[in-house]
Amino acid sequence: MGNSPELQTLVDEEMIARILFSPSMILDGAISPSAFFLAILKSGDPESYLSVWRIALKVPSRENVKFKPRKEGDTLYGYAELSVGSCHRVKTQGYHCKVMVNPHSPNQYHAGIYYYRDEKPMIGASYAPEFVMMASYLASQSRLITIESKAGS
Amino acid sequence: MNEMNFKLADPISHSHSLHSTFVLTVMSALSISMGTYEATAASSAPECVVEQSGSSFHDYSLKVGLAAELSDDFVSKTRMLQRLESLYSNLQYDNWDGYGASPLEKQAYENTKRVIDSLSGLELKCWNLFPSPNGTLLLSIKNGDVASLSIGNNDFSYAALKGESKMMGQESFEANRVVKVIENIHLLLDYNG
Repeated sequence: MGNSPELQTLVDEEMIARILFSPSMILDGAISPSAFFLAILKSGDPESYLSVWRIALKVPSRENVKFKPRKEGDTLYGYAELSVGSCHRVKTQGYHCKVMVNPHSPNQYHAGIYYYRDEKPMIGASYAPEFVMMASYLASQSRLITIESKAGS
Repeated sequence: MNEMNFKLADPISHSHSLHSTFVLTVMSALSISMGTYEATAASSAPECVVEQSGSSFHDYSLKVGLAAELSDDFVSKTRMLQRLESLYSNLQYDNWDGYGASPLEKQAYENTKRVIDSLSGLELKCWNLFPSPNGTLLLSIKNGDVASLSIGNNDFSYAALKGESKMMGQESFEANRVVKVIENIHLLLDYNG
């Protein structure tokens, strides 16, 4: 999903899911704020948004989440559920975020959390305090939904 | 085996002998040697002995409380170090989070270890430790409050929010400075410990 002017902002009432592939992002039922960090990927490419699902259109499950184990023992853990409004309420020192979707995308269930500073999109931020603040807030507003393992898996 | 022996007054035997003691053995899995943390039952930490001197039940209660607090302190610290070690050893491959994350950085791991070593277990008890997709580590406050501290190779950043009050910043890494920031976050959040 590119950060184009065509993107449409979702309404506050909609619920979204940030899928958590790594159990290390969960501890004692708490979700890591770093699950909401933008990163500079190993490839050197900076992330421009966080990928999320629109729960009203597609609820993440073990069957519909494409999950390729990266290491033996890896398992799909679940997702962080939060409202779009929780994201839109984050405003601090010129920083805020929006949840948007590309209306022309064939995957309408796929949306993105975009971070802004002074209305300019942010990409690939590492661990700037503003990110830490926003991500911590989003994590605190999220509810952990676990995805049950299939019997025997 | 890392044992901490606390000599305490025994309220039962105490009625028979003012000099009676019993030893509360606290198992600590903390072992740090040659810069490598080992979660092991074998270590050589010094003994901490609280000698019996009082004779009242009040003294006994205080000592039991102290022993419990010290035990709690070691447990919290040990758990945090075990968590750090586990994250570092398990996340040494690309894309561990499914979104393209980098492996955890050795320097960030060592910096975090220094911070944990510098804090008491009671202080650490308020925090969770998580990996970050950039290969750094993140301390996140528990209990639904908003406060996090990210530790990287050369610097650290932090943010905390309570009502209208907030603090945030990014500084060059110094373990003592991180400890001070954590103390200030606890003050902001009205934490006692």
